[in-house]
Amino acid sequence: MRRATEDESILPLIHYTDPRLPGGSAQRLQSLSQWTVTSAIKDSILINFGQHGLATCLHSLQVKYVNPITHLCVVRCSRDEYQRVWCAISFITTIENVQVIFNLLDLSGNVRPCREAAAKYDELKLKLLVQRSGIQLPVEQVERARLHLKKIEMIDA
Amino acid sequence: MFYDLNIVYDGVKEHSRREMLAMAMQMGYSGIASNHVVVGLMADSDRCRICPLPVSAIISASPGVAEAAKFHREVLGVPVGQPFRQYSRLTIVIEDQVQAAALNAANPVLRTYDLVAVQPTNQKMLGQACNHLEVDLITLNFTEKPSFRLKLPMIKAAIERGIYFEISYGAALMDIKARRELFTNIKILIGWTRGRNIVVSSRAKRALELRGPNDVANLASMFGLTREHAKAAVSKNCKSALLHGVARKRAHKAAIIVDRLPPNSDHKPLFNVPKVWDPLSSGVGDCLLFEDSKHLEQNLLFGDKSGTDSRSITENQQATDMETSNDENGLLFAPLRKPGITVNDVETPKAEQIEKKRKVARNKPIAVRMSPRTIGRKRARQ
Repeated sequence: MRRATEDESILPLIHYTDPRLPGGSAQRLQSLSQWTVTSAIKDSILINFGQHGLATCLHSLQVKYVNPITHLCVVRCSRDEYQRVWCAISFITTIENVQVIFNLLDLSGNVRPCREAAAKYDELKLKLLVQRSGIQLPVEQVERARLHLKKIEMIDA
Repeated sequence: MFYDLNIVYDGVKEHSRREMLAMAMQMGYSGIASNHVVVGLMADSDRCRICPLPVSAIISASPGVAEAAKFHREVLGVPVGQPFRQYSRLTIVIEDQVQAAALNAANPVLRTYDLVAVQPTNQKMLGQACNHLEVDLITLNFTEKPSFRLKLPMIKAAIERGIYFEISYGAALMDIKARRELFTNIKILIGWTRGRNIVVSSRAKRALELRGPNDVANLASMFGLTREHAKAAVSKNCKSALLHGVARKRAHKAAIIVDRLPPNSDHKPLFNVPKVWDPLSSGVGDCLLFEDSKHLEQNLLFGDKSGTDSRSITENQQATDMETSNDENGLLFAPLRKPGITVNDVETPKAEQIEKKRKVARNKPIAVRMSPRTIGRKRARQ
């Protein structure tokens, strides 16, 4: 885990997995988007920390990147609230009625290290996904994931 | 190294247990403890029946688990070659003095478990647990309104005796009310302990109730622990609790452990401390996952129908198990706290005879030794 540096934003990098791997849920998870993740995080903050908690987080909270194939997300929030946001994210159990677990991979205090880490982990995750025996990943999906990978370069503060 | 010391065992189906272990493995944990709960009086039938799952079973539950585990371990900075360990744990819910009396060092049932935890339900029993009982963990059900008040002297006494307090987050993830109670009650505990001697575990009934070690540490820091204490609560403290368990389970007077040497080891010089001695090894529960996982996975995919392949898996598995657990040919004395002197049995004909005698003696029923207190009482009667 990286320690925060001088920058104002902290971008926890969140890996998102589904325990019931094969079958219907995997299909439905393809619809995972920045919007669904954002709304899930906001709901969780509202439930756990109330209106005030949500209001103080809201100005900085942003889901920067979501890869619908590898389920890797990048979330930005201000340094004062990052523990709360992280906690709220840990308390999320479902997104659109699909059961999920969030698992933090990296925490950085700046955009650049975050971008590097995201690119590295997403690459690795895609490799894992392709390697994983039992699930046949169609070629077009791999291509789609790679397209998303390129978007990591575009992440900025 | 991260541990989760509470995975529910009772009433959990085999399949979901496999899923839970696979999930814990994937998240980068180095070990878990399967928990058996006894309410009230403990009987002889409560001996440890928790058998560790073999790697093949875990991999069959979710394919690709080995690679995912490797990935997460690298992220967490845990050595990849380390085995994934499964421990057994007993939790006893006690209400009165009679039930508490079962928790003493002489009880053979307790010795079959790697960890022993106690869950007191009232003030008196809490005091007893902190001050006297022979346990490794004190677990308090924080998801309901507690029927006792935590007081500083008893918590101090427990910390001095090296006992850890357990906080479980599993129920709080699913239930909002439980979450509120948890946060409220933990504040008091953390206030008195000042963050020391706390273990955070999941008490997960499903794979969904597990969280990654980093997330758990963050949760713990939301409870009010400092960052170091929060991280220690999932790693260092768990390890110490396990070591406390080892001292209770296997060591004579919590000081000396007698262990068997592997069969084909050469004559080692006398007075030699083994270089690789891992007190945390649970013996049979070790899963050396990254060496034979690929082989296993391929077998699971392609070679299930042919009997030879599956047999070879089990044989391999047994072989690795034998390596980790020790065999019956020699005795090794390794002190637990300060490794100083070891005595090896040299394999001479005489030694073999002695060994035979020992084996015979082992098969005999063990005489119940009297504790000093009972001897004193007898003398008083006479």
